[in-house]
Amino acid sequence: MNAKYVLLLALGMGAMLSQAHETPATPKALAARYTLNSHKLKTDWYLWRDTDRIETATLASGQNVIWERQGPHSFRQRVVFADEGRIVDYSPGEIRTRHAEPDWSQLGSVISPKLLGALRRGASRLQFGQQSTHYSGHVQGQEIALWWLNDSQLPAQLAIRGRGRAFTLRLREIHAVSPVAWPRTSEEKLADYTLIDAADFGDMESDPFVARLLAREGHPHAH
Amino acid sequence: MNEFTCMTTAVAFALTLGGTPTIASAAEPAVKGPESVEDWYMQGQRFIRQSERQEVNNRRARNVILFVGDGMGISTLTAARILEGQLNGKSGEENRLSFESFPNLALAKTYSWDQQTSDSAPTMTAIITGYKAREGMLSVDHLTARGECDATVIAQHTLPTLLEQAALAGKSTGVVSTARLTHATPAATYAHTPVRDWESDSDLNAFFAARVATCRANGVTLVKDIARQLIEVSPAVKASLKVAMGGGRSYFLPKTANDPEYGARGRRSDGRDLTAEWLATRGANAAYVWNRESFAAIDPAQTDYLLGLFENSHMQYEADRASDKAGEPSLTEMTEKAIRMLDRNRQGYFLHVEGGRIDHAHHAGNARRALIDTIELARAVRKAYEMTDPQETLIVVTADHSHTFTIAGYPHRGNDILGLVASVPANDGEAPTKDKAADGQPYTTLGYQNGPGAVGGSPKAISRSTNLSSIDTTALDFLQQAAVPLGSETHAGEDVATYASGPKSHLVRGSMEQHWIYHVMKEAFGF
Repeated sequence: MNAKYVLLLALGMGAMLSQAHETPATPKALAARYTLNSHKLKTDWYLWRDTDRIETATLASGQNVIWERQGPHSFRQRVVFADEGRIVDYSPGEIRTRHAEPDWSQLGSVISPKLLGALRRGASRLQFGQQSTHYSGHVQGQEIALWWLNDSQLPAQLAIRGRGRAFTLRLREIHAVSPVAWPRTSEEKLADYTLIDAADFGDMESDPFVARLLAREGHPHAH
Repeated sequence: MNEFTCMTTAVAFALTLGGTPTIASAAEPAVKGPESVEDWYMQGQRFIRQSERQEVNNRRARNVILFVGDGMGISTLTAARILEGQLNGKSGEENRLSFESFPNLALAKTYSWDQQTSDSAPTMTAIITGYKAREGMLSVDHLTARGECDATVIAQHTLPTLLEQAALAGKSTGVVSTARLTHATPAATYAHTPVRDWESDSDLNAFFAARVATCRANGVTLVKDIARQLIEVSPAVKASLKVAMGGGRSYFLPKTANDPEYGARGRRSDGRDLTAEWLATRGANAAYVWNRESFAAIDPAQTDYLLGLFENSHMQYEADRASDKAGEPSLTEMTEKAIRMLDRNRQGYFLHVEGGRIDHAHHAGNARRALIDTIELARAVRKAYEMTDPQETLIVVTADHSHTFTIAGYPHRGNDILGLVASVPANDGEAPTKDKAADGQPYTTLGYQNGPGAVGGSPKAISRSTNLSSIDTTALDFLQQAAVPLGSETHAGEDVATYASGPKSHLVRGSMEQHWIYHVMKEAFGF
């Protein structure tokens, strides 16, 4: 499961996301490892942030998601299914057609500036060698508690409760350069996988992989 | 947005003393067309006079141009016609796409040997070889086994295509598409394979991989991937195929090569750069272009062979083309350049042009992009018609299959084709109001029977509990509502229209099997 969409579901932020199409500057490049706890899911979750490329990996699913910003309002997404040796490629036109344009700020910081602004600011303390600030509040019927790394623009801890859900994200490591052992993709590695253009789904319904994916398309975590 | 008048004057009924209602003063209809009463009759008479003047052209065709709108069903044509008219400030319904003025028309039945509703592979095979075929197979007969990877076996089942026959006859040939050049429709003109997904050599390890592994273990010669087939065509096709333009660059580049536009790697495992091979094997005046600038620099009079690959995968939707990173030509521009190159051969040419992305937009449940691509195809047809002599060039415009795209309700004349249904008011003088469905909500004229636009089909589907009055249904990205939730909207099985102009075009008539279209084109060439 894509942890980013676990977050969206937990926050009920779909509407906010779809309206936030600015192309802001990306905060500084970094690599972060989190522990993610959701209803049935406990996994390591990774984030790599560069100026025009944001990648996440969910260890439990072996799935990486790569977002690339190719220009103002032009985004490409590749979803990597390592276990199946497949990549689904969503071109900028396909992203627009599917209304899947991301909030770039949220992709790179997990929490959007809009949500952060809706929370109450609290105490401060040092974490991971930098100043962090506590935020809390209720958003769309859910209780949110957040420790926010001011310099890195990332959560150190995030807890969401409500609507019968409990979700936590806890930062374990943060680096300026990704450790080699982390499950980040490379173009060399990706070249060995079969790339499927999402525009071709309609012509590939008899392919077992595409059929499985299409069956999940109605669910927000599919891409 | 159009020349229609929406009158909002109140209807004035007056009661006579006897209580019988009569109209005291006739109110103007709020919705009305521009025609006078006489116009209808005159239009009909003009049609009869024009039809009587129509002459059967039994000459041999010097050239044949085959346009295919992928997924361009009849409802798509109607909606595109209206949208084009409305974009020109008219009501829209009376508009005609360029090819709708062609003198001959037929309905083509699109079933394949094993499909009631077909995919593009057997339907284009039917159009280009004259034989109905199997799902997912390109220009091989219906006795071909699924996943057959033995090149010797495939050679026994290969069906010659019209492009190959034109090449043997000394004509020049060309293929143009907004989809990947290796995608089913354009590929059926030059490639022979049982698996449409074998577009690069890497794909042989991904689709029907077990069959391919068995073939490898048995030491048989494997069927070539589609991109390789484009480069390693027969000597006759190699000499004749002057121009091939579309998307699909990554299928021609090795994994070790970085894409010039996006930096991503190519897809080929065999290390071959087929774009370089095109240049190396097509003589000194061969060219390879990958963006708008290099395309524009090509002089058709000085270029003998042109390969254009403008995207890693499919080219942009026409609606998005202006924002492409490296820039790419339109379908019309590619068609024009192709004709200029091919027309240098005195013996004539065969050209296939595909509007390949109509289908993709429909699969996504996005009508506006599908219609804009259809309008662009119509522009390309107009350009081709203007550049050729109808006495010597047969132009056929058809579709491979339809989609579950519908035009619903009773919208009034001039109602925005992408908008909500508003029917003709019950009383003259009243303004049209949005029609409501049984759930009390308005609904769009355009919709799909299935697809991402149904709740459960995609996260962005709009439920029926949402009042569409608050949503811009004409927006480029709007997904039309659908009934059955599917991640990808499906093809539809009804007949498609086939339009024809030029030599032997009168043979396009009535209800046709799709593979008869090939026979008309072949007859026109006189093969």
